[in-house]
Amino acid sequence: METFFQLLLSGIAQGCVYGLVAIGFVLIYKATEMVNFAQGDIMMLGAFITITLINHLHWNYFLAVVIAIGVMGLFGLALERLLLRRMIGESPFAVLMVTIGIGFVMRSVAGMIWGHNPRSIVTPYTDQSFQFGAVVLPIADVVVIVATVVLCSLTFLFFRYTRFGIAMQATSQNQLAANYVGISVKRVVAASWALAAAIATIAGILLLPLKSAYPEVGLILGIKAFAAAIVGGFGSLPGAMIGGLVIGLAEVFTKFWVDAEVGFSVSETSVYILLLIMLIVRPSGLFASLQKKKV
Amino acid sequence: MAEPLLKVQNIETYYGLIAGIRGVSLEVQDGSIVAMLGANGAGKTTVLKTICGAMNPEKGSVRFRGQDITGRDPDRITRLGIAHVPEGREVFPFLTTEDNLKMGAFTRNRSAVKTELDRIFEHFPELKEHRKLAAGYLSGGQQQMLAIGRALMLRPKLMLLDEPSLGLSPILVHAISEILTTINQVEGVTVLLVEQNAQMALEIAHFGYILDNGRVVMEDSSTRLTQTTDVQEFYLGKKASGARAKRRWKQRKTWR
Ligand SMILES: Nc1ncnc2c1ncn2[C@@H]1O[C@H](COP(=O)(O)OP(=O)(O)O)[C@@H](O)[C@H]1O
Ligand SMILES: [Mg+2]
Repeated sequence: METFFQLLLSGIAQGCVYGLVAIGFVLIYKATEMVNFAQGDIMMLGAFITITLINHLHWNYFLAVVIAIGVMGLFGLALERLLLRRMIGESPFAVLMVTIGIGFVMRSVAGMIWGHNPRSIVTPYTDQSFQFGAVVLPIADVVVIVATVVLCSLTFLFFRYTRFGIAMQATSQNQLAANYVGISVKRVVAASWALAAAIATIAGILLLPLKSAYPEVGLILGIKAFAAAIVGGFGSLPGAMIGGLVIGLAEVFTKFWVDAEVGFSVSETSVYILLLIMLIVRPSGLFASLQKKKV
Repeated sequence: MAEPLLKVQNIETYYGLIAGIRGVSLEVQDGSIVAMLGANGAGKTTVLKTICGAMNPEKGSVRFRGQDITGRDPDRITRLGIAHVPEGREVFPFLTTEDNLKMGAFTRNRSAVKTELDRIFEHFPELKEHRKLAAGYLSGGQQQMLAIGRALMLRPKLMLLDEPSLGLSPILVHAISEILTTINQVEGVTVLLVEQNAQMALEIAHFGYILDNGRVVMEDSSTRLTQTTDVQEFYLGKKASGARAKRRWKQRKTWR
Protein backbone atom coordinates (compact mmCIF):
# COMPACT_ATOMS: atom_id res chain seq x y z
CA MET A 1 0.00 0.00 0.00
CA GLU A 2 2.80 2.43 0.88
CA THR A 3 4.48 1.57 -2.38
CA PHE A 4 1.27 2.24 -4.22
CA PHE A 5 1.05 5.77 -2.84
CA GLN A 6 4.67 6.45 -3.59
CA LEU A 7 4.25 5.18 -7.13
CA LEU A 8 1.08 7.19 -7.54
CA LEU A 9 2.82 10.36 -6.41
CA SER A 10 5.84 9.75 -8.57
CA GLY A 11 3.64 8.91 -11.58
CA ILE A 12 1.64 12.08 -11.15
CA ALA A 13 4.81 14.17 -10.77
CA GLN A 14 6.31 12.62 -13.88
CA GLY A 15 3.00 13.10 -15.67
CA CYS A 16 2.93 16.78 -14.72
CA VAL A 17 6.25 17.32 -16.48
CA TYR A 18 4.98 15.53 -19.60
CA GLY A 19 1.78 17.52 -19.38
CA LEU A 20 3.59 20.85 -19.18
CA VAL A 21 5.70 20.10 -22.23
CA ALA A 22 2.55 18.83 -23.99
CA ILE A 23 0.83 22.13 -23.24
CA GLY A 24 3.60 23.78 -25.23
CA PHE A 25 2.89 21.55 -28.22
CA VAL A 26 -0.80 22.42 -28.05
CA LEU A 27 -0.26 26.17 -27.56
CA ILE A 28 1.86 26.43 -30.67
CA TYR A 29 -0.39 24.12 -32.63
CA LYS A 30 -3.50 26.11 -31.77
CA ALA A 31 -1.94 29.39 -32.81
CA THR A 32 -0.14 28.25 -35.96
CA GLU A 33 -1.18 24.68 -36.84
CA MET A 34 2.51 23.86 -36.64
CA VAL A 35 3.85 20.99 -34.57
CA ASN A 36 7.06 22.03 -32.87
CA PHE A 37 9.21 18.95 -32.46
CA ALA A 38 11.89 20.95 -30.67
CA GLN A 39 9.58 21.43 -27.69
CA GLY A 40 11.45 18.87 -25.56
CA ASP A 41 14.79 20.38 -26.55
CA ILE A 42 13.60 23.79 -25.44
CA MET A 43 12.94 22.20 -22.06
CA MET A 44 16.47 20.75 -22.10
CA LEU A 45 18.04 24.11 -22.88
CA GLY A 46 16.03 25.77 -20.12
CA ALA A 47 17.24 23.15 -17.66
CA PHE A 48 20.89 23.63 -18.68
CA ILE A 49 20.66 27.40 -18.37
CA THR A 50 19.28 26.98 -14.87
CA ILE A 51 22.09 24.56 -14.04
CA THR A 52 24.70 27.03 -15.24
CA LEU A 53 23.21 29.93 -13.30
CA ILE A 54 23.07 27.91 -10.08
CA ASN A 55 26.11 25.62 -10.24
CA HIS A 56 28.58 27.83 -12.07
CA LEU A 57 27.48 31.38 -11.37
CA HIS A 58 26.21 30.48 -7.88
CA TRP A 59 23.01 32.43 -8.21
CA ASN A 60 20.21 32.14 -5.75
CA TYR A 61 17.81 29.32 -6.78
CA PHE A 62 14.71 31.47 -7.16
CA LEU A 63 16.49 34.25 -9.03
CA ALA A 64 18.02 31.67 -11.37
CA VAL A 65 14.61 30.11 -12.02
CA VAL A 66 13.00 33.44 -12.85
CA ILE A 67 15.83 34.53 -15.14
CA ALA A 68 15.96 31.15 -16.92
CA ILE A 69 12.23 31.29 -17.61
CA GLY A 70 12.56 34.82 -18.95
CA VAL A 71 15.56 34.03 -21.13
CA MET A 72 13.85 30.98 -22.60
CA GLY A 73 10.69 32.96 -23.25
CA LEU A 74 12.82 35.32 -25.33
CA PHE A 75 14.44 32.31 -26.98
CA GLY A 76 10.97 31.11 -28.02
CA LEU A 77 10.22 34.57 -29.42
CA ALA A 78 13.49 34.56 -31.35
CA LEU A 79 12.88 31.10 -32.82
CA GLU A 80 9.51 32.23 -34.09
CA ARG A 81 10.75 35.55 -35.37
CA LEU A 82 13.88 34.32 -37.09
CA LEU A 83 12.88 30.89 -38.36
CA LEU A 84 9.27 29.85 -38.09
CA ARG A 85 7.72 33.09 -39.30
CA ARG A 86 9.41 32.49 -42.62
CA MET A 87 7.70 29.12 -42.84
CA ILE A 88 4.16 30.50 -42.85
CA GLY A 89 2.39 29.14 -45.88
CA GLU A 90 4.91 26.33 -46.41
CA SER A 91 3.75 22.73 -46.29
CA PRO A 92 3.28 21.21 -42.82
CA PHE A 93 5.95 18.68 -43.72
CA ALA A 94 8.52 21.40 -44.39
CA VAL A 95 7.67 23.08 -41.09
CA LEU A 96 8.02 19.75 -39.32
CA MET A 97 11.47 19.23 -40.80
CA VAL A 98 12.53 22.69 -39.68
CA THR A 99 11.48 22.07 -36.09
CA ILE A 100 13.18 18.66 -36.11
CA GLY A 101 16.29 20.39 -37.45
CA ILE A 102 16.13 23.00 -34.71
CA GLY A 103 16.04 20.18 -32.18
CA PHE A 104 19.14 18.56 -33.69
CA VAL A 105 21.06 21.80 -33.60
CA MET A 106 20.03 22.51 -30.02
CA ARG A 107 21.15 19.04 -28.86
CA SER A 108 24.53 19.25 -30.51
CA VAL A 109 25.16 22.79 -29.31
CA ALA A 110 24.17 21.76 -25.80
CA GLY A 111 26.57 18.81 -26.09
CA MET A 112 29.39 21.15 -27.07
CA ILE A 113 28.73 23.58 -24.25
CA TRP A 114 27.76 21.30 -21.37
CA GLY A 115 29.16 17.92 -22.45
CA HIS A 116 27.30 14.64 -22.28
CA ASN A 117 27.52 13.79 -18.60
CA PRO A 118 24.21 14.02 -16.77
CA ARG A 119 24.01 17.11 -14.57
CA SER A 120 21.69 18.29 -11.92
CA ILE A 121 21.26 21.03 -9.35
CA VAL A 122 20.86 21.22 -5.64
CA THR A 123 17.52 22.83 -4.90
CA PRO A 124 16.32 24.13 -1.56
CA TYR A 125 14.25 20.95 -1.31
CA THR A 126 16.66 18.31 -2.60
CA ASP A 127 16.58 15.03 -0.65
CA GLN A 128 13.87 16.18 1.68
CA SER A 129 10.72 14.22 2.21
CA PHE A 130 7.46 14.07 4.09
CA GLN A 131 6.73 11.03 6.14
CA PHE A 132 3.19 9.82 6.76
CA GLY A 133 3.53 6.67 8.83
CA ALA A 134 5.29 4.23 6.57
CA VAL A 135 4.80 6.36 3.47
CA VAL A 136 7.75 8.50 2.47
CA LEU A 137 6.86 11.23 0.00
CA PRO A 138 9.80 13.00 -1.64
CA ILE A 139 9.25 16.75 -1.57
CA ALA A 140 10.59 17.02 -5.11
CA ASP A 141 7.48 15.15 -6.33
CA VAL A 142 5.17 17.31 -4.26
CA VAL A 143 6.82 20.49 -5.54
CA VAL A 144 6.31 19.40 -9.14
CA ILE A 145 2.64 18.75 -8.54
CA VAL A 146 1.98 21.96 -6.60
CA ALA A 147 3.87 24.07 -9.12
CA THR A 148 1.97 22.46 -11.98
CA VAL A 149 -1.39 23.09 -10.33
CA VAL A 150 -0.46 26.74 -9.77
CA LEU A 151 0.83 27.15 -13.31
CA CYS A 152 -2.23 25.53 -14.86
CA SER A 153 -4.52 27.74 -12.79
CA LEU A 154 -2.65 30.85 -13.89
CA THR A 155 -2.81 29.72 -17.50
CA PHE A 156 -6.53 29.09 -17.17
CA LEU A 157 -7.14 32.53 -15.65
CA PHE A 158 -5.05 34.13 -18.37
CA PHE A 159 -7.03 32.55 -21.20
CA ARG A 160 -10.38 32.98 -19.53
CA TYR A 161 -10.21 36.52 -18.24
CA THR A 162 -7.48 38.66 -19.79
CA ARG A 163 -8.14 40.54 -22.99
CA PHE A 164 -5.05 39.16 -24.70
CA GLY A 165 -5.81 35.63 -23.49
CA ILE A 166 -9.30 35.80 -25.00
CA ALA A 167 -7.80 37.25 -28.17
CA MET A 168 -5.47 34.23 -28.34
CA GLN A 169 -8.47 31.91 -28.09
CA ALA A 170 -10.30 33.94 -30.72
CA THR A 171 -7.35 33.69 -33.07
CA SER A 172 -7.19 29.93 -32.78
CA GLN A 173 -10.94 29.69 -33.44
CA ASN A 174 -11.05 31.96 -36.46
CA GLN A 175 -7.88 33.62 -37.63
CA LEU A 176 -9.56 35.63 -40.37
CA ALA A 177 -12.10 37.15 -38.01
CA ALA A 178 -9.36 37.83 -35.48
CA ASN A 179 -7.59 39.82 -38.14
CA TYR A 180 -10.75 41.75 -38.91
CA VAL A 181 -11.32 42.86 -35.32
CA GLY A 182 -7.77 44.16 -35.19
CA ILE A 183 -5.95 41.39 -33.35
CA SER A 184 -2.39 41.15 -34.61
CA VAL A 185 -2.07 37.48 -35.44
CA LYS A 186 1.70 37.89 -35.57
CA ARG A 187 1.70 38.96 -31.94
CA VAL A 188 -0.54 36.11 -30.91
CA VAL A 189 1.77 33.63 -32.60
CA ALA A 190 4.84 35.20 -31.00
CA ALA A 191 3.17 35.11 -27.59
CA SER A 192 2.31 31.44 -28.06
CA TRP A 193 5.94 30.58 -28.75
CA ALA A 194 7.17 32.59 -25.80
CA LEU A 195 4.61 31.01 -23.50
CA ALA A 196 5.33 27.50 -24.78
CA ALA A 197 9.08 27.96 -24.26
CA ALA A 198 8.62 29.45 -20.79
CA ILE A 199 6.34 26.60 -19.71
CA ALA A 200 8.74 24.00 -21.14
CA THR A 201 11.52 25.63 -19.12
CA ILE A 202 9.47 25.40 -15.96
CA ALA A 203 8.94 21.72 -16.76
CA GLY A 204 12.70 21.29 -17.13
CA ILE A 205 13.44 23.04 -13.86
CA LEU A 206 10.86 20.91 -12.04
CA LEU A 207 12.29 17.76 -13.59
CA LEU A 208 15.86 18.50 -12.53
CA PRO A 209 15.70 17.23 -8.97
CA LEU A 210 13.93 14.07 -10.19
CA LYS A 211 16.14 13.27 -13.16
CA SER A 212 19.37 14.79 -14.32
CA ALA A 213 19.78 16.71 -17.55
CA TYR A 214 21.82 15.66 -20.58
CA PRO A 215 21.56 16.91 -24.16
CA GLU A 216 19.23 14.14 -25.30
CA VAL A 217 16.86 14.37 -22.35
CA GLY A 218 14.47 16.55 -24.29
CA LEU A 219 14.27 14.23 -27.26
CA ILE A 220 12.93 11.29 -25.30
CA LEU A 221 10.81 13.38 -23.02
CA GLY A 222 9.53 15.37 -25.98
CA ILE A 223 8.24 12.22 -27.66
CA LYS A 224 6.42 11.21 -24.50
CA ALA A 225 4.96 14.69 -24.16
CA PHE A 226 3.91 14.52 -27.80
CA ALA A 227 2.13 11.26 -26.99
CA ALA A 228 0.49 13.03 -24.06
CA ALA A 229 -0.75 15.79 -26.35
CA ILE A 230 -2.19 13.21 -28.74
CA VAL A 231 -3.89 11.31 -25.93
CA GLY A 232 -5.39 14.64 -24.89
CA GLY A 233 -6.70 15.42 -28.36
CA PHE A 234 -3.99 17.86 -29.49
CA GLY A 235 -6.30 20.81 -29.36
CA SER A 236 -7.06 21.12 -25.71
CA LEU A 237 -4.83 22.43 -22.93
CA PRO A 238 -6.56 20.50 -20.12
CA GLY A 239 -6.49 17.47 -22.41
CA ALA A 240 -2.71 17.79 -22.75
CA MET A 241 -2.32 17.90 -18.99
CA ILE A 242 -4.51 14.84 -18.47
CA GLY A 243 -2.72 13.07 -21.31
CA GLY A 244 0.52 13.78 -19.47
CA LEU A 245 -0.83 12.25 -16.28
CA VAL A 246 -2.05 9.15 -18.13
CA ILE A 247 1.38 8.64 -19.68
CA GLY A 248 3.28 9.36 -16.48
CA LEU A 249 1.20 6.96 -14.41
CA ALA A 250 1.28 4.23 -17.07
CA GLU A 251 5.04 4.49 -17.21
CA VAL A 252 5.65 4.38 -13.48
CA PHE A 253 3.25 1.55 -12.80
CA THR A 254 4.38 -0.67 -15.67
CA LYS A 255 7.95 -0.11 -14.54
CA PHE A 256 7.12 -1.40 -11.09
CA TRP A 257 4.63 -4.15 -11.85
CA VAL A 258 5.62 -5.44 -15.26
CA ASP A 259 9.35 -4.85 -15.72
CA ALA A 260 10.25 -6.89 -12.63
CA GLU A 261 8.02 -9.76 -13.77
CA VAL A 262 9.20 -10.05 -17.36
CA GLY A 263 12.80 -9.18 -16.64
CA PHE A 264 13.23 -6.42 -19.18
CA SER A 265 12.05 -2.86 -19.55
CA VAL A 266 8.48 -2.65 -20.82
CA SER A 267 7.90 0.70 -19.20
CA GLU A 268 9.90 2.62 -21.78
CA THR A 269 7.78 1.11 -24.53
CA SER A 270 4.51 1.37 -22.64
CA VAL A 271 4.21 5.00 -23.72
CA TYR A 272 4.42 4.07 -27.36
CA ILE A 273 2.04 1.16 -26.95
CA LEU A 274 -0.41 3.53 -25.32
CA LEU A 275 0.07 6.00 -28.14
CA LEU A 276 -0.56 3.33 -30.78
CA ILE A 277 -3.67 2.07 -29.03
CA MET A 278 -4.88 5.63 -28.77
CA LEU A 279 -4.30 6.35 -32.45
CA ILE A 280 -6.15 3.19 -33.45
CA VAL A 281 -9.04 3.32 -31.01
CA ARG A 282 -9.65 7.04 -30.59
CA PRO A 283 -7.55 8.93 -33.10
CA SER A 284 -9.02 12.25 -32.05
CA GLY A 285 -7.84 11.80 -28.47
CA LEU A 286 -9.62 11.38 -25.17
CA PHE A 287 -10.73 14.98 -25.14
CA ALA A 288 -11.21 15.62 -28.80
CA SER A 289 -11.88 19.30 -29.07
CA LEU A 290 -15.12 19.87 -30.91
CA GLN A 291 -13.44 22.64 -32.74
CA LYS A 292 -13.24 22.56 -36.48
CA LYS A 293 -10.52 24.82 -37.76
CA LYS A 294 -11.40 27.45 -40.31
CA VAL A 295 -8.91 27.90 -43.07
CA MET B 1 -14.13 68.72 -53.96
CA ALA B 2 -12.84 67.11 -50.80
CA GLU B 3 -11.34 63.67 -51.15
CA PRO B 4 -13.88 60.91 -50.47
CA LEU B 5 -13.59 58.89 -47.25
CA LEU B 6 -12.55 55.82 -49.22
CA LYS B 7 -10.99 55.92 -52.65
CA VAL B 8 -10.13 52.68 -54.41
CA GLN B 9 -8.15 53.10 -57.59
CA ASN B 10 -7.84 50.44 -60.20
CA ILE B 11 -7.08 47.53 -57.87
CA GLU B 12 -6.21 44.11 -59.28
CA THR B 13 -6.08 41.23 -56.80
CA TYR B 14 -5.14 37.64 -57.51
CA TYR B 15 -5.71 34.23 -55.94
CA GLY B 16 -2.45 32.71 -57.07
CA LEU B 17 -2.76 33.00 -60.83
CA ILE B 18 -6.51 33.49 -60.82
CA ALA B 19 -7.67 37.10 -61.00
CA GLY B 20 -10.29 37.87 -58.34
CA ILE B 21 -10.73 41.42 -59.60
CA ARG B 22 -9.23 43.03 -62.69
CA GLY B 23 -9.12 46.75 -62.06
CA VAL B 24 -11.81 48.10 -59.78
CA SER B 25 -12.17 51.76 -58.87
CA LEU B 26 -14.74 53.12 -56.48
CA GLU B 27 -15.36 55.99 -54.12
CA VAL B 28 -17.30 56.14 -50.89
CA GLN B 29 -18.28 59.62 -49.70
CA ASP B 30 -18.20 60.36 -46.01
CA GLY B 31 -21.58 59.72 -44.39
CA SER B 32 -23.06 57.79 -47.29
CA ILE B 33 -24.26 54.24 -47.83
CA VAL B 34 -22.78 52.74 -50.98
CA ALA B 35 -23.99 49.44 -52.39
CA MET B 36 -21.85 47.07 -54.41
CA LEU B 37 -23.90 44.57 -56.37
CA GLY B 38 -23.00 41.69 -58.59
CA ALA B 39 -23.58 38.03 -59.24
CA ASN B 40 -21.73 35.24 -57.48
CA GLY B 41 -18.06 35.31 -58.38
CA ALA B 42 -18.14 38.89 -59.62
CA GLY B 43 -15.38 39.86 -57.21
CA LYS B 44 -17.26 41.68 -54.46
CA THR B 45 -15.68 39.80 -51.58
CA THR B 46 -12.25 40.26 -53.11
CA VAL B 47 -12.75 44.03 -53.23
CA LEU B 48 -13.63 44.12 -49.54
CA LYS B 49 -10.72 41.86 -48.62
CA THR B 50 -8.38 44.14 -50.50
CA ILE B 51 -9.73 47.25 -48.78
CA CYS B 52 -9.38 45.77 -45.30
CA GLY B 53 -5.89 44.42 -45.94
CA ALA B 54 -6.65 40.69 -45.84
CA MET B 55 -5.39 40.53 -49.45
CA ASN B 56 -2.78 42.64 -51.16
CA PRO B 57 -3.53 44.02 -54.60
CA GLU B 58 -1.08 43.40 -57.41
CA LYS B 59 -1.82 46.85 -58.77
CA GLY B 60 -3.74 49.92 -57.73
CA SER B 61 -4.23 51.71 -54.45
CA VAL B 62 -6.61 52.07 -51.54
CA ARG B 63 -6.85 55.45 -49.84
CA PHE B 64 -8.73 56.09 -46.61
CA ARG B 65 -9.16 59.64 -45.27
CA GLY B 66 -6.55 60.81 -47.71
CA GLN B 67 -4.01 58.24 -46.49
CA ASP B 68 -2.57 55.47 -48.64
CA ILE B 69 -3.35 52.20 -46.83
CA THR B 70 -2.62 49.78 -49.66
CA GLY B 71 -1.12 46.52 -48.43
CA ARG B 72 -1.15 47.33 -44.71
CA ASP B 73 -1.82 44.51 -42.25
CA PRO B 74 -5.53 44.12 -41.50
CA ASP B 75 -5.14 44.77 -37.78
CA ARG B 76 -3.58 48.14 -38.54
CA ILE B 77 -6.34 49.03 -40.97
CA THR B 78 -8.93 48.11 -38.34
CA ARG B 79 -7.23 50.54 -35.98
CA LEU B 80 -7.90 53.34 -38.47
CA GLY B 81 -11.64 52.76 -38.01
CA ILE B 82 -12.58 50.34 -40.76
CA ALA B 83 -14.75 47.50 -39.46
CA HIS B 84 -15.53 44.43 -41.53
CA VAL B 85 -18.57 42.19 -41.29
CA PRO B 86 -17.31 39.27 -43.34
CA GLU B 87 -19.19 36.93 -45.62
CA GLY B 88 -20.55 34.00 -43.63
CA ARG B 89 -20.50 35.88 -40.30
CA GLU B 90 -17.26 34.38 -38.98
CA VAL B 91 -18.04 34.65 -35.29
CA PHE B 92 -15.72 33.07 -32.72
CA PRO B 93 -17.77 29.91 -32.12
CA PHE B 94 -16.43 28.94 -28.69
CA LEU B 95 -16.37 32.39 -27.16
CA THR B 96 -19.51 33.71 -25.50
CA THR B 97 -21.63 36.29 -27.29
CA GLU B 98 -20.30 38.89 -24.89
CA ASP B 99 -16.64 37.96 -25.43
CA ASN B 100 -17.23 38.04 -29.19
CA LEU B 101 -18.49 41.59 -28.86
CA LYS B 102 -15.63 42.57 -26.57
CA MET B 103 -13.18 41.33 -29.17
CA GLY B 104 -14.76 43.83 -31.55
CA ALA B 105 -13.33 46.55 -29.31
CA PHE B 106 -9.94 44.83 -29.02
CA THR B 107 -8.10 47.82 -30.44
CA ARG B 108 -9.93 50.33 -28.26
CA ASN B 109 -9.51 51.72 -24.81
CA ARG B 110 -10.69 49.33 -22.09
CA SER B 111 -12.91 51.97 -20.53
CA ALA B 112 -14.95 52.17 -23.75
CA VAL B 113 -15.98 48.52 -23.68
CA LYS B 114 -18.74 48.72 -21.09
CA THR B 115 -20.60 51.63 -22.70
CA GLU B 116 -20.23 50.11 -26.15
CA LEU B 117 -21.63 46.78 -24.93
CA ASP B 118 -24.72 48.55 -23.57
CA ARG B 119 -25.12 50.37 -26.83
CA ILE B 120 -24.92 47.14 -28.87
CA PHE B 121 -27.37 45.37 -26.56
CA GLU B 122 -29.78 48.25 -27.15
CA HIS B 123 -29.55 47.67 -30.90
CA PHE B 124 -29.79 43.89 -30.50
CA PRO B 125 -31.76 42.88 -27.39
CA GLU B 126 -31.61 39.23 -28.45
CA LEU B 127 -27.85 39.24 -28.08
CA LYS B 128 -28.20 40.48 -24.52
CA GLU B 129 -30.42 37.51 -23.72
CA HIS B 130 -27.73 35.15 -24.95
CA ARG B 131 -24.70 37.05 -23.72
CA LYS B 132 -23.25 34.05 -21.85
CA LEU B 133 -23.95 31.54 -24.61
CA ALA B 134 -21.18 30.35 -26.92
CA ALA B 135 -21.67 32.09 -30.26
CA GLY B 136 -21.64 28.76 -32.11
CA TYR B 137 -25.04 27.97 -30.58
CA LEU B 138 -26.72 31.13 -31.86
CA SER B 139 -29.08 30.94 -34.83
CA GLY B 140 -27.91 32.19 -38.22
CA GLY B 141 -29.76 35.45 -37.82
CA GLN B 142 -28.40 36.00 -34.33
CA GLN B 143 -24.88 35.28 -35.56
CA GLN B 144 -25.33 37.90 -38.27
CA MET B 145 -26.49 40.39 -35.64
CA LEU B 146 -23.46 39.42 -33.58
CA ALA B 147 -21.11 39.97 -36.50
CA ILE B 148 -22.62 43.41 -37.07
CA GLY B 149 -22.55 44.20 -33.36
CA ARG B 150 -18.93 43.11 -33.12
CA ALA B 151 -18.03 45.47 -35.96
CA LEU B 152 -19.94 48.33 -34.30
CA MET B 153 -17.95 47.82 -31.09
CA LEU B 154 -15.10 49.48 -32.94
CA ARG B 155 -17.17 52.65 -33.42
CA PRO B 156 -16.00 52.51 -36.99
CA LYS B 157 -15.78 55.39 -39.37
CA LEU B 158 -16.41 53.01 -42.26
CA MET B 159 -18.19 49.70 -42.13
CA LEU B 160 -17.74 47.03 -44.79
CA LEU B 161 -20.52 44.46 -44.96
CA ASP B 162 -20.34 41.34 -47.10
CA GLU B 163 -23.79 39.97 -47.93
CA PRO B 164 -25.31 40.39 -44.48
CA SER B 165 -28.74 39.32 -45.73
CA LEU B 166 -27.57 36.00 -47.13
CA GLY B 167 -29.74 33.12 -45.96
CA LEU B 168 -31.92 35.24 -43.70
CA SER B 169 -35.70 35.50 -43.62
CA PRO B 170 -37.32 38.62 -45.12
CA ILE B 171 -38.12 39.85 -41.62
CA LEU B 172 -34.47 39.65 -40.59
CA VAL B 173 -33.35 41.23 -43.86
CA HIS B 174 -35.66 44.11 -43.08
CA ALA B 175 -34.29 44.35 -39.54
CA ILE B 176 -30.75 44.53 -40.87
CA SER B 177 -31.57 47.24 -43.39
CA GLU B 178 -33.20 49.27 -40.60
CA ILE B 179 -30.16 48.90 -38.39
CA LEU B 180 -27.84 49.97 -41.18
CA THR B 181 -29.96 53.03 -41.87
CA THR B 182 -29.99 53.90 -38.18
CA ILE B 183 -26.25 53.62 -37.65
CA ASN B 184 -25.68 55.60 -40.81
CA GLN B 185 -28.07 58.42 -39.91
CA VAL B 186 -27.76 58.51 -36.13
CA GLU B 187 -24.16 57.52 -35.58
CA GLY B 188 -22.76 58.83 -38.83
CA VAL B 189 -21.15 55.54 -39.84
CA THR B 190 -20.31 55.35 -43.53
CA VAL B 191 -21.32 52.02 -45.06
CA LEU B 192 -20.04 50.01 -48.01
CA LEU B 193 -22.61 47.27 -48.46
CA VAL B 194 -22.03 44.24 -50.66
CA GLU B 195 -25.21 42.45 -51.57
CA GLN B 196 -26.82 40.04 -53.95
CA ASN B 197 -30.14 41.23 -52.60
CA ALA B 198 -30.18 44.32 -54.82
CA GLN B 199 -33.65 45.30 -53.75
CA MET B 200 -32.67 45.78 -50.13
CA ALA B 201 -29.31 47.32 -50.91
CA LEU B 202 -30.58 49.91 -53.40
CA GLU B 203 -33.40 50.84 -51.06
CA ILE B 204 -31.06 52.05 -48.36
CA ALA B 205 -28.01 53.07 -50.41
CA HIS B 206 -27.31 56.49 -51.85
CA PHE B 207 -25.00 55.26 -54.55
CA GLY B 208 -24.32 51.92 -56.17
CA TYR B 209 -21.70 50.04 -58.16
CA ILE B 210 -22.33 46.96 -60.21
CA LEU B 211 -19.54 44.47 -60.57
CA ASP B 212 -19.25 41.78 -63.17
CA ASN B 213 -16.37 39.49 -63.89
CA GLY B 214 -13.94 41.47 -61.76
CA ARG B 215 -14.80 44.89 -63.16
CA VAL B 216 -17.18 47.73 -62.42
CA VAL B 217 -19.74 47.70 -65.23
CA MET B 218 -22.09 50.38 -63.95
CA GLU B 219 -22.12 53.09 -61.33
CA ASP B 220 -24.80 55.57 -60.48
CA SER B 221 -27.05 56.93 -57.76
CA SER B 222 -29.25 54.16 -56.43
CA THR B 223 -32.40 55.91 -57.63
CA ARG B 224 -31.15 55.87 -61.19
CA LEU B 225 -29.75 52.34 -60.92
CA THR B 226 -33.14 51.14 -59.75
CA GLN B 227 -34.69 52.60 -62.90
CA THR B 228 -32.14 51.12 -65.29
CA THR B 229 -33.58 48.32 -67.40
CA ASP B 230 -30.57 46.04 -67.01
CA VAL B 231 -30.58 46.33 -63.26
CA GLN B 232 -34.30 45.75 -63.14
CA GLU B 233 -33.96 42.62 -65.22
CA PHE B 234 -30.92 41.10 -63.60
CA TYR B 235 -31.03 42.13 -60.00
CA LEU B 236 -34.54 43.17 -59.20
CA GLY B 237 -36.22 40.34 -61.12
CA LYS B 238 -38.66 42.67 -62.89
CA LYS B 239 -38.73 40.73 -66.14
CA ALA B 240 -37.85 37.14 -66.96
CA SER B 241 -36.99 36.92 -70.64
CA GLY B 242 -33.74 35.08 -70.00
CA ALA B 243 -32.05 34.73 -73.39
CA ARG B 244 -32.75 38.23 -74.60
CA ALA B 245 -31.65 39.72 -71.34
CA LYS B 246 -28.36 37.88 -71.49
CA ARG B 247 -27.70 39.26 -74.97
CA ARG B 248 -28.33 42.79 -73.87
CA TRP B 249 -25.96 42.40 -70.96
CA LYS B 250 -23.26 41.05 -73.24
CA GLN B 251 -23.66 43.96 -75.61
CA ARG B 252 -23.32 46.34 -72.79
CA LYS B 253 -20.13 44.67 -71.65
CA THR B 254 -18.57 44.62 -75.10
CA TRP B 255 -18.92 48.29 -75.67
CA ARG B 256 -17.36 49.07 -72.36
N1 LIG C 1 -9.93 31.22 -52.55
C1 LIG C 1 -10.00 31.40 -53.88
N2 LIG C 1 -9.16 30.75 -54.70
C2 LIG C 1 -9.22 30.93 -56.04
N3 LIG C 1 -10.08 31.74 -56.63
C3 LIG C 1 -10.94 32.42 -55.88
C4 LIG C 1 -10.95 32.28 -54.45
N4 LIG C 1 -11.91 33.07 -53.96
C5 LIG C 1 -12.48 33.67 -55.00
N5 LIG C 1 -11.91 33.28 -56.17
C6 LIG C 1 -12.26 33.73 -57.52
O1 LIG C 1 -12.25 35.13 -57.54
C7 LIG C 1 -13.39 35.63 -58.21
C8 LIG C 1 -14.11 36.61 -57.34
O2 LIG C 1 -14.58 35.96 -56.18
P1 LIG C 1 -15.33 36.70 -55.01
O3 LIG C 1 -14.65 37.98 -54.73
O4 LIG C 1 -15.49 35.75 -53.89
O5 LIG C 1 -16.76 36.98 -55.68
P2 LIG C 1 -18.12 37.41 -55.00
O6 LIG C 1 -17.86 37.80 -53.58
O7 LIG C 1 -18.60 38.55 -55.83
O8 LIG C 1 -19.04 36.25 -55.09
C9 LIG C 1 -14.23 34.42 -58.58
O9 LIG C 1 -14.08 34.19 -59.95
C10 LIG C 1 -13.68 33.29 -57.80
O10 LIG C 1 -13.69 32.13 -58.58
MG1 LIG D 1 -18.66 36.99 -51.94
